[in-house]
Amino acid sequence: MPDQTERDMEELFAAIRDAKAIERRTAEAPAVSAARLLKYGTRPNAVVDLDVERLLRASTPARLMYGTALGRAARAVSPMAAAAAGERATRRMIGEDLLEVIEEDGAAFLVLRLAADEPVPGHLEVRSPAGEGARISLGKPVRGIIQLRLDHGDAELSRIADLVTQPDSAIYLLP
Amino acid sequence: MRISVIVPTTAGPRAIVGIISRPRLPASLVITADDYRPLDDITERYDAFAGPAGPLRRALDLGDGSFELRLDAGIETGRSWELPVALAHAAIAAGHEIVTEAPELVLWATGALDPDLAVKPDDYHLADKLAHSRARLDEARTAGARILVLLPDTAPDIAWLADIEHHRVGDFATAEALLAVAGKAARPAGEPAPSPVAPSPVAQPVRVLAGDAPRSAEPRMMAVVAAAILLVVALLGLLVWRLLPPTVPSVPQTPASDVADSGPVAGNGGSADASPATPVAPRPAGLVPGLVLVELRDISGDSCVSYLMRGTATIDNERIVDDGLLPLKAAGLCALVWRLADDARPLTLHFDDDFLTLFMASDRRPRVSLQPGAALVMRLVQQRGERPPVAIGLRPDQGAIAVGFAGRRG
Repeated sequence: MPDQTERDMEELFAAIRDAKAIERRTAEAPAVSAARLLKYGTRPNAVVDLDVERLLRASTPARLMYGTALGRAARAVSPMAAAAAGERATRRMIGEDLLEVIEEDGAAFLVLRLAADEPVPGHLEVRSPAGEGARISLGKPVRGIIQLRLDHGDAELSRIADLVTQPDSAIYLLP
Repeated sequence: MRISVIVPTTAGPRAIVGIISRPRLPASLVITADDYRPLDDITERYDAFAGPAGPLRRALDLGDGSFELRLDAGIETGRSWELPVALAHAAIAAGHEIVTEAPELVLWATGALDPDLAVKPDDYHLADKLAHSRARLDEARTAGARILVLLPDTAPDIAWLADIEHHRVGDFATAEALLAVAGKAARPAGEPAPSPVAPSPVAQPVRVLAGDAPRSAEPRMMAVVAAAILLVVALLGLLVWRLLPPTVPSVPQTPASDVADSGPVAGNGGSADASPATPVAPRPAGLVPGLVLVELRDISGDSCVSYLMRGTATIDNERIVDDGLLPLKAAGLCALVWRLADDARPLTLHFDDDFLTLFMASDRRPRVSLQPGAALVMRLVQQRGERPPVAIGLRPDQGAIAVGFAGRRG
């Protein structure tokens, strides 16, 4: 019986093969190497590579490979939230940490209550099944709580708030 | 009132954009307009400072829930933001509006606060911070805003602040009282006072220093009873004053050109204490048109230590002298200020011996000439265990105003 690591590696290599196939076959998708895709998933910051983002929206195999890379790098993952159809997921567990989106006047606050002091996640990435997503830097926790102000007046932050509350979005807590 | 609160830093002045109640958030945060992430170190301290167990929440009736403190630019480190932020909370609690544009009052303050809300002694890089802020203060003053600069007790003299209202403060209560006075003074004529969430500027320092729980009805009832007693005694004093022959000496009329004093007069405590007094709209009629009497009380309660040592006091019970009898609140009284309006005629005050045993000007002369715009500060010098005076009596007497006590003796 292959162990978990071997299974993960097999998945990864399969995803890489798929991605290489995509590179060869998808004329409209940007030319992104598998290595670049994997590096993007494990980057230590929230810098955006627009070519990779376009590829993730265009290619299911690329999303699979990227998701695998993210899952390996993440401190905790929530593939989806339990919510009734059509409802927003304003609370979900990511591993042992609780993520809430609290609506206040003029803004949504993303509130992450950490179960343990260490290790503190440095980034949060949200990714919809359609490949749309974003990564944001998290601040320093205060009393084990990280709060981010997602202003409704800011289109990008408002989009992130919307993605985070979609029940089928995957959320990753990253270093 | 529209108040701009400046948080000086060595990198330049920061302005408080607003403090927003966030009742559903589990922790308070400090944030700037250009970032979705709170300022790390400041947020942690602010959450502890304004949080459920924080000293600010004990001092002010902040209610439950968290706050979002918004700044126009970041503060990297340090704790000198605590005093201006605490004052911004107090201003909001008193019904004022925090603004960054077109303020009526600009508050500049710096100082870290200890758990008892005393300003921690430190250098605070004051010269640097003030130099960075000077242009902004000048600009606001040119635009017509009143400027109030609050420095720590340990601050050195800074020459260019001479023509800007500034005070040295040792604690938050003192600073809050000065802000309350400035807020009252800068309020446009006819504008009603805001419904106060915080107590009056006089009562507040006492409450904070005593560390009381929120006020109950009992102190208010006692205050009403005390005011009623004072009123009855004052009326009796007026009756006695009117019935008895004058006890103040007759004073021959002195031409204005012969007066010994001219220009502003300051007694112990300095004229800086008298200057921020609330301007009172002059009334054309009255016993002494344009004459105002102000009582100065010690900011820290019932002793005059703070007033004598630092010259800081609460301006209280400011009245136009439009009657021959001025009831006096003895509790906590440190000094009297007689001030003559700019458009009033010069006058001479003649104090009787009894009055001068209790209140002393910079010299002990019984006759003092007041010029328009001038102020005379008379420090309370002794009590002698006697019953304190309950009222000051004034009467015109051959061109001077004779001043004595009414209602203390007998």
